[in-house]
Amino acid sequence: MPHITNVMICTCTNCISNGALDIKDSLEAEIKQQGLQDDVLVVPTGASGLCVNGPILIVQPDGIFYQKLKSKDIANLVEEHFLKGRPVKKLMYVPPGEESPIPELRSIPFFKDQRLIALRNRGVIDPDRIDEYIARDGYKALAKAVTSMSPEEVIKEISDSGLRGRGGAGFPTGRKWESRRKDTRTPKYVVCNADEGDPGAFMDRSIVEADPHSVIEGMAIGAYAVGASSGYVYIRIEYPLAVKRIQKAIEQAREYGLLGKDIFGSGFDFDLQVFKGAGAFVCGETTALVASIEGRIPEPRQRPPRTTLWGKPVVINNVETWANVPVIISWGAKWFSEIGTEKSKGTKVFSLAGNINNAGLVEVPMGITLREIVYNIGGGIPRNKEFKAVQTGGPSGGFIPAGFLDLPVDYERLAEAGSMMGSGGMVVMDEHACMVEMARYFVAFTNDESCGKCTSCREGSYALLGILNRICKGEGKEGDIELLEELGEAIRDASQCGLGQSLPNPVLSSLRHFRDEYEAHINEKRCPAGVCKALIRYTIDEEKCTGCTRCAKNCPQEAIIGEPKQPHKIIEEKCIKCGVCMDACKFDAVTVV
Amino acid sequence: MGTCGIAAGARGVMKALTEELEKSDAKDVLLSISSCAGLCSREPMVTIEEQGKPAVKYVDLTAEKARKIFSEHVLGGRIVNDCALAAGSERTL
Repeated sequence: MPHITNVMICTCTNCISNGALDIKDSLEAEIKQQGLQDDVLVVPTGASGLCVNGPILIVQPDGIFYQKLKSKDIANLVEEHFLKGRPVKKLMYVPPGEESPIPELRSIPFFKDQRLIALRNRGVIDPDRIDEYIARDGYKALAKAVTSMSPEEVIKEISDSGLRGRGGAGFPTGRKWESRRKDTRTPKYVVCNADEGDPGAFMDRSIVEADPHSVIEGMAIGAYAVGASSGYVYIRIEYPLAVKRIQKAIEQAREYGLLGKDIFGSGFDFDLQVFKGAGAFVCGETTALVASIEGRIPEPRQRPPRTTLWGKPVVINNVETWANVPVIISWGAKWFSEIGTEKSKGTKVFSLAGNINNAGLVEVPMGITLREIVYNIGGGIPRNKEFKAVQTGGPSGGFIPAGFLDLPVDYERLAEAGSMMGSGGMVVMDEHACMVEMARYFVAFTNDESCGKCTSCREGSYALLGILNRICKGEGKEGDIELLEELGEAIRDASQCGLGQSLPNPVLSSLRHFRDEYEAHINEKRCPAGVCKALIRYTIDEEKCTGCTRCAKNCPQEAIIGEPKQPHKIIEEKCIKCGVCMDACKFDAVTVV
Repeated sequence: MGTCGIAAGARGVMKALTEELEKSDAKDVLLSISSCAGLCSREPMVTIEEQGKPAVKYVDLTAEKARKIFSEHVLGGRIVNDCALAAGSERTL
């Protein structure tokens, strides 16, 4: 097992004359005394360039620099830094002339609580160079698997690790592999599902763009385990950069003999090709995905029987699942299964989007709370607005309100809250989001993306959308809420694939947590968040208006009248409720009623 | 140079750095691309890795800021505090 921490000790002539070898001995003795010999490795290196201040220690990967060390400092240093994780400030090197040293990356909240497994190489390697991947232990797990493990041992390792599918459903990966291993039909296939389509989700794209070889290596290990010799990366054409990078990575892997015949001289053959999907949302569903590869119309079908490709066994896993595989093989199932919660092991990558300060891609241990993700890592809501809900799982997921912020993130707990893990999209909404409108938006998306095979999904989504459109227009009537619930449950029960079964989730979860907003729309013809145009009106507060004319100048409809330095007025018949005046006003005089 | 970085203007930053590198006589500077580093809202981002020192991450860059970083940090060895986010690396594995 590789060491977590490397301590580089400079053993140049200068540092040796300053006692570097004694320091090295006492370091090693002290590390052993604390039982840290498996975690911390002492590495003698050449001159570090600052040997005037020697002996020098550089602790990696923290990048902490210690200088002018004495043997008597070592016991304290080992205990504080390596055992307790607190770098010893007084021994650290501060560059001359630097008054305010910039903070350490790991002390910044965005990075502090993240733990990178699938994203282990993000921002560190050039994705177009296989050598950089290899330099960071890339393809070592594949070598280990094909030269020293039996396929059964590989599957056992993955099963024991507790890895579950990162595409959303959370099916145990090891169990999936085992069933394909036992299937006697040949040839077998492995497929990477990179048909990411949830609005606001970009985890898979980022992994393929940043570290394509991690996916290729994972797939090769999976192929070895189940007995497949070819595979496909199914990726949507709307991700041109990711397509380019994975294609280049495959070519490089072939050149290096890491794909092709007789990999690592083990007799194992495996090759991969990229299949570009046209970008239909339903193609992320496995039976539709294989239909698309086979050249058929991508319509899902009832399961069982199990999904096959060309009538043969196929393992389909998501990008992030594949990217986790090499690490599990290298570091072992035990190590991996110690991260996370009882039933959800390891880490999960989320894309943070919406009303959040640090929009981006984060990887966190399972079991972290939504509050930690939104407030610590995400940096909270812009302009200190109130958090209203977070939408997880895209159009198949649901809304989680503020009351559930302390919910630990894992497959089961998110489902209990009426949402789902999904592939990892998290859209954060502040107080100005209308939940009825959001539900309408997602139903409009799934209605558009429904393949049309099942009546319940095709017509059901259309009917849901019709009701939601009416409610948002202020034409909701008594009984609509009950009808939405009944329809939603019927669509869920009667549709064949995940798209249809989960499309009512945004409606049902918003009804569960934000029923009062529906009631306000229907009974009072009022949109509490001030979003639904038919239900709101813009007015100018005469007391606050200074007559600066800014709103009138910006109004695209010339719907605002008033003399300079006199309070202005909005002509309601002309107003299209675009909100430009509200954004333009510097005196908060424009309000929504 | 992930989609997020490119959308925020990473190509302009890359071009500026390439030009500065060509203009300088530096023989020991390697300019390389990388992809999404996670903090998409602060792109374009550049990381300067100097041997034996913690890596420094710069955020919210423009071509102009990149040129300044090249002359002051890469050539001069002084961290440009106004655009630096932090030093060090992330917790992996």
